Amino acid sequence: MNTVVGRADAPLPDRCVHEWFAGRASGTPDVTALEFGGRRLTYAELDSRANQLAHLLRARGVGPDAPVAVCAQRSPEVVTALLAVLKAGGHYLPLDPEYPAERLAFMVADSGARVLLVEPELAGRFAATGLERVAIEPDWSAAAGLPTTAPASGAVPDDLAYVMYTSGSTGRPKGVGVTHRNVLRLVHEADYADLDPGQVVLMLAPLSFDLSTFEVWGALCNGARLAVLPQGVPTAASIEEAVRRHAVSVALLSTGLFQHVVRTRPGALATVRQVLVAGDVAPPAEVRMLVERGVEVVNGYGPTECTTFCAARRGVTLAETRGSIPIGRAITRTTLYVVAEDGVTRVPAGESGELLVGGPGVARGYHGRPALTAERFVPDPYGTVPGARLYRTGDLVTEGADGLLLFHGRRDQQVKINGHRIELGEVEAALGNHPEVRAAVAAVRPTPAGDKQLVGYVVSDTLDRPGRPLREYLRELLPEYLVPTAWVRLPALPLNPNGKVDRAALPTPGDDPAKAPVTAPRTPVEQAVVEVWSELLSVAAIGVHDDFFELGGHSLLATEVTALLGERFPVELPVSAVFDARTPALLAERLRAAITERVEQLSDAEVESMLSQVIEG
Amino acid sequence: MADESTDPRTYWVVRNDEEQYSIWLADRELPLGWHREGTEGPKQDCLDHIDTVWTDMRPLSLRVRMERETRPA
Repeated sequence: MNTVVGRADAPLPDRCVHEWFAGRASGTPDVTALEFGGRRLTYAELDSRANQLAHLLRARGVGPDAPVAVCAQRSPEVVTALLAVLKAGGHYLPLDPEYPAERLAFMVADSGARVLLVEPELAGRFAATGLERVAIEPDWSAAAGLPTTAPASGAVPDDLAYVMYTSGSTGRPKGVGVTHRNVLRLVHEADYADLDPGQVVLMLAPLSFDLSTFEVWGALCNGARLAVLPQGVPTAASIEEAVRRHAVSVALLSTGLFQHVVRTRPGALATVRQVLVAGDVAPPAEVRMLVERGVEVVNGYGPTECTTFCAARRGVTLAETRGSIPIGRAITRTTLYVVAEDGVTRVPAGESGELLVGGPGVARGYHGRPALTAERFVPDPYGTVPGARLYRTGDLVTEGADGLLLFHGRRDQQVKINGHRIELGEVEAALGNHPEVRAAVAAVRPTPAGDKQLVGYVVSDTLDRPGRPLREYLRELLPEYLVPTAWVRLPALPLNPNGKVDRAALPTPGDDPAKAPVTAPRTPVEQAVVEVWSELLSVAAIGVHDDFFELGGHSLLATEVTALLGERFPVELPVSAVFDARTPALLAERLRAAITERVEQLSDAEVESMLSQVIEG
Repeated sequence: MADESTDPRTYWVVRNDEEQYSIWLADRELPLGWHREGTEGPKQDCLDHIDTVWTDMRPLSLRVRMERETRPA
């Protein structure tokens, strides 16, 4: 029978995440829990700081069922804060500092959070929310009076540990409520990765992304060391540096980042024992490059609703990288079923069906959304636990003859780009609200380089070139990954005979005959920028006024732009320059300014030597 | 793929002992531990009904426990 069951012999211990951590802290108090640059925190230090902060939160009314918003960049403090929220009995609501204010305000209001743990530099953007703000790094001299022992949290394993928001098809993001029990199912006796006191786990995922659940609690509930990547957008260089510096042994990368790092710095992950890749279809070529170097690659699969992972292929083989890499089998204490269209009849191996997930990893549901929860979390007709529920993933899979699952795609309109879940309906709803848009459709199309890009198709009487105004408009409402990077204006949406939008008939962007003529580079610096873009974007004719993102660029490629320009010129531009100066003309200006500034600081001899380098190079 | 918005089938609103709600195709055998709540009809009607009755999404055992603990001694 095609039921893929993970090892589920022993029941999960009836404990909360912070209790499990506290057990580690008392067992190995002097072992390093966190590393960040040159700083270190032992398990005992992390425990006592989190206890003090938890007392501070208790004093502000945090307890079971209370959400606490957390907005900060990666740091030991943010890890301490998450732990403190749990110790206080509450659950955390991670807020990505990069998200637009309106989106953050929605999440805060929807979750019901009243307290915010925030980095001082970010506090200003929450001025209008009415949240009570607590500094993520309190004045420890003032906090010194607080007990370093844990408060009684009052929380039980079925209480929430966090709420994370994902894209919602009707235009409203949905908060997935994940319990302590759910998290323990992911990290306790995990069979898909090595999580033990001997490991160093790299922390690089944004907190608002549930890969962070694996990193933080996978390390700290198992006595391992958590190595925190420096702040800023992760780059191949920063990851390589962190891997070397902290002797990282376990790293989890979202698909897009994985591909980027392996392509640009093939050696960056070579010393990592186990590299997990998750978030989207694993890229065979890059996985092969790592497997050939002797790295164990784990292909992880799972929606946020099932707590990060529900299936994994451990030890991807070279043979598997010649085709689609399987998503493997159910992980510990997880049950998977592949069912037919009717939602209950199991299909035989080899036949495609929807994947349903059961076991203690299945989340409580969508916060404040009973109907949506009832529709996606359904009665389990096969299990032996009375009243159990299964999560309908909406993903189509088949079970191979070897018992390994293969992923095929979605039943609905949800798509993924660089690991981000995107409900096209959410993008369309936001576009449809623009006063000058009569109709809008969003779709995913390949860029000339073969990467996936989000395309906005709009019908408008007034917007001749809709890209710029609509992108600006959406960036006020949606996170960057939900904003289309290419735009096509249509006289009308193509419809099929049933009157529905015929998605297959949507044109490929770039075929627009009304596009402005290309302006050729006018200076050697512009020429260099155009060459670098051409190479990365696989677009032959790039004009100096063309927009990087409209040509199919994205944040990972932006890091490659700065890296490649850094090889040609003796300056290092920040990645943000590519976001701010979006055309070759503007970026060339930035480069010139940076070069001038650099040269002014040099002695004559240094200038001579640099010039000769540039000329010879 | 069946278009869910035009699903003509009849559903039941069902509930488990933790008072979690879901829907189930009418006349199909109910899974272990699930009971009919009483409402039946088109899928959207059942979901709309759940939106009005499932006001506290915490499982029952947790709600009971929290009420017991917050009650003054």
